[in-house]
Amino acid sequence: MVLRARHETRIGGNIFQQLSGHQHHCPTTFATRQIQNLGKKYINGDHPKLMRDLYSVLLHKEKLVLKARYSIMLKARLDGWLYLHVPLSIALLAALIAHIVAVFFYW
Amino acid sequence: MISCLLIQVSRNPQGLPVRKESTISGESIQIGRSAPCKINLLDHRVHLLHATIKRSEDGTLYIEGEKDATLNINGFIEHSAALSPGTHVEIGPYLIVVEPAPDGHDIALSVEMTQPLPEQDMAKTCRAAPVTLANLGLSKRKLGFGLAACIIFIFLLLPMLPSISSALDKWQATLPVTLTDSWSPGPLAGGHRVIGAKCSTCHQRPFQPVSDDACSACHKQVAKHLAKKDLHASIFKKVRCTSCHLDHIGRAGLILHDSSGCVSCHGDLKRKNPNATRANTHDFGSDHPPFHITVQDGKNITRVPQAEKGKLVEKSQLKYSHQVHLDKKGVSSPLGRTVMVCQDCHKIDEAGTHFAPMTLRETCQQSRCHTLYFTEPVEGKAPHGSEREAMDKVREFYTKRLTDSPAKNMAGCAPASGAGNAAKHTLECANNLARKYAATTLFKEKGEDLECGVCHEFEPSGDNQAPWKVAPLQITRDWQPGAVFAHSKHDTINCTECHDKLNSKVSADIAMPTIEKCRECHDGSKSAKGKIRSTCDSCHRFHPGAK
Repeated sequence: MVLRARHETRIGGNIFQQLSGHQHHCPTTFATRQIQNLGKKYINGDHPKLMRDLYSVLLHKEKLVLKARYSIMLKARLDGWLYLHVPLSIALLAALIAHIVAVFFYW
Repeated sequence: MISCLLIQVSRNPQGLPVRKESTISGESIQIGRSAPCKINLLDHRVHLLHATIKRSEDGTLYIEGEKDATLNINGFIEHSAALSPGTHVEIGPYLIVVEPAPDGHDIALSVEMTQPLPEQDMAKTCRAAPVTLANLGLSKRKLGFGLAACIIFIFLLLPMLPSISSALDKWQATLPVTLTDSWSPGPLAGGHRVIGAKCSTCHQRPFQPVSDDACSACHKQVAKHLAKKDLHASIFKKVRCTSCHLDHIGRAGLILHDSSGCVSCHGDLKRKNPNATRANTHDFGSDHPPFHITVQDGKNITRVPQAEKGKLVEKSQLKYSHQVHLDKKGVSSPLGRTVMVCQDCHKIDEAGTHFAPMTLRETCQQSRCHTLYFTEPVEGKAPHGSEREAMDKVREFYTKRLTDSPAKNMAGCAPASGAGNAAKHTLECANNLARKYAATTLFKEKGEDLECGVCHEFEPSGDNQAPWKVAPLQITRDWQPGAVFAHSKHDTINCTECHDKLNSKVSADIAMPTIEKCRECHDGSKSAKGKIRSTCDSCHRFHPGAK
């Protein structure tokens, strides 16, 4: 579970994942929830401390992952506007040039 | 308390170091990959808690490794060592270098990952995913320039192509979507639609305005506004056809209906032409001069002010009484009394502006009137044509009468002079009889006008074959040739509301409405409530003769 969280947790992704800032069935979130339940079973010896440390690490990781995804989401949305704005601005300049030439070409 | 300046060192794409500084502090400073460590080294080759920086009793700082953790200090495996500027500590893939501590700090450490995992391993462990849209291969610059190139190609280069080759121009005009469609600011006006997409018909040279020559290539008959060429050229030297005729604004376009262009000259004609004789005018509703009537007398054509009624006489060479024909009790005819209305004779032509020409057969012979009978001593019907045609017909009747019963009818003829040809004698006799009786049955008897003479002015011609000459007609088609008027648009009112013909006894009467009569319904360019807005071009045309 922890290894899956380590290997399969993704930050970013395709355009939709970046824009949504969300990974469907995030392994880290899943592991964090499951560790809580496992902690109730392992109550002998060093297990409680290890489980607590593991939970602490996973919780910290989840927090960082969510924060990173949120940042990526904000950046992706801002970039999305730029992907609309910049090409259209360049195209608008081209259209303006075409318009001016056309007006004087067929006067 | 230890105050440490932590310098995170990374490398930019060019391999140059990028230093990011932060301050950490504590009784001791833990180094490891676990979250609580103040110096967090994210790599699995680093222990959760790998080493700790502590202060010794003499105040110096030293680093101490955890159990089973390896420290490589200045190239030697050590468990602990004092930290002084220049000391290199390798922990896993990280290199920590002790730098001179700035003021306010006990120590300065630069941390850099010097032994990253191979690419394959990183991908395997971190599963690196694109974190920006640029990582997905999208490029704003490529997208923008691609879009701009498409626009330039479709909306600039393609429309230019037809001007390079006339063959290409003809070909593209047949396409459902032409190359120049994107440059067309609007649909062409009615007649110009036949030009279609052949822009070069009017736009003959690139980067030059549409010339008047391009217009006159088709519109050869369009007259100049002023008959005097020099005057026209001097006044309208800066005016092009397109100054008034703007195309590409739809079917209703092409003609400028605004009166400002007209008023700019006609508001003060003397300023443009000191020899001008027309009165100034600004608006039909306020200062348009009274109407003039154009009268012809066979030789001269003169414009007579409507106020000078004595000069308003039509010399059409016809005799006609509107009063008789428009009698409310009806006019006497072979079919009885017939009540006539204006439209019985005056039928609007297809253009809706004038009336169709009247003919005797279709107009005057309604109810069998004006059938041109001659009755004595033979009965017949003369044709409506030239005097000679009428006389030939009459002669034909008398010739037949003489040949049918020569003994009886030749008695009225003069005896034959000598032993001449009998047939010739008969023809001479018929001619004499025709002349004698035509005069008394077709033209005039005892001062009374008959048949032809009812309508026509005539006089003796001295010609043996056609002894009477009918005066040529001079019927005026336009009383106001400088204006256009559509009778078809005014058929909501009776003719006699404008034309006072009910009491007109002679055809010489001219019954044209005055400007006051028009103003009962029409106003100027700023119309009052209940009146029709009328601009200059409601009645006038810039080009003489235009409809």
